[in-house]
Amino acid sequence: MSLKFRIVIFVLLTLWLFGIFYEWFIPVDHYLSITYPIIKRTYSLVCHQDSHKLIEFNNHKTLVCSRCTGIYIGAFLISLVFLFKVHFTLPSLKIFILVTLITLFDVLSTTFGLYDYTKIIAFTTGLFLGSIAFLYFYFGMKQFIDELNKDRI
Amino acid sequence: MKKYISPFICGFGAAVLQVVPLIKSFSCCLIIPFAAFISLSLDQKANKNYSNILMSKAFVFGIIIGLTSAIFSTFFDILITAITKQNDLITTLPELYKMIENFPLDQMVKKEVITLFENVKNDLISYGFSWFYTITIFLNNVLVNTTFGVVGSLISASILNNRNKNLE
Repeated sequence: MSLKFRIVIFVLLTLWLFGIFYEWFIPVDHYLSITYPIIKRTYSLVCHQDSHKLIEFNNHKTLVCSRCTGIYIGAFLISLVFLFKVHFTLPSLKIFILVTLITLFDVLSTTFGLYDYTKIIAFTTGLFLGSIAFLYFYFGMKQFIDELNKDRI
Repeated sequence: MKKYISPFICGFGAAVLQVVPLIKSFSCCLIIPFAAFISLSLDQKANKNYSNILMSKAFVFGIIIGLTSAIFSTFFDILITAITKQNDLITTLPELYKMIENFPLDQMVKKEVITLFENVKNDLISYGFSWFYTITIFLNNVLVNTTFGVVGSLISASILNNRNKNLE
């Protein structure tokens, strides 16, 4: 995939991540609070936003839960790596399934009270899931662009 | 049109699930990507074609799932609001006002933001409908669901292609 596309993906993910930490930036620019309710509503479409599961810093919370924050940071970090690294091998499906099962196990265990919800575990499982999912997305996107280029020729 | 039946059905299913509170808190951002995976799997089964899925096809499936789920989830949201004259926005407004009050902003800006949302709240409580609310949630749904639909479809197609390759 060309550098142009990798930069576009990286910039879009950065913007999405900025939205997650939107509340944290309000003390920097107070006028961000005008659009805050709309941004919060947008992120409510992709996360339950349970207040005790949000990451808090200086009395300001993320707009998605710890697990979702982990997923998006994982994807963001891998997209950052791909700005400099072009060639990669797709991780085996077994790894993807394993990471998904670990995440699912944590979700079910905390929901049914097998153990208490901890932000660190939720964030870590999300981080791994986001990283692996991004690799699969990147591979799909690369193939999609190749198909488009082939059609043009 | 028949070849796109599975993304339409899965998009509709996702829209239904998106308005069920318990399922929403359980599945987080995975409803739409999961719908994309199911629709691609169903399409393969229906056509009995387990060869590599073209990413352009997955992309179109993602767009259809995103748009279908956005249209129906907006419709369900408006319908439920019109009947009950109550929704998420109204219940979370007091918390939001408290938060805005704590922000170090000009009193005038604070007042403007609160007035804007008070007008929306009054419309929703009085008539069960607000143009501002409807347009905002529709644009939100289209943007987010379509993005997650496309991302989910591309990931799902990569997974299914990888699985098929392992089965060969």
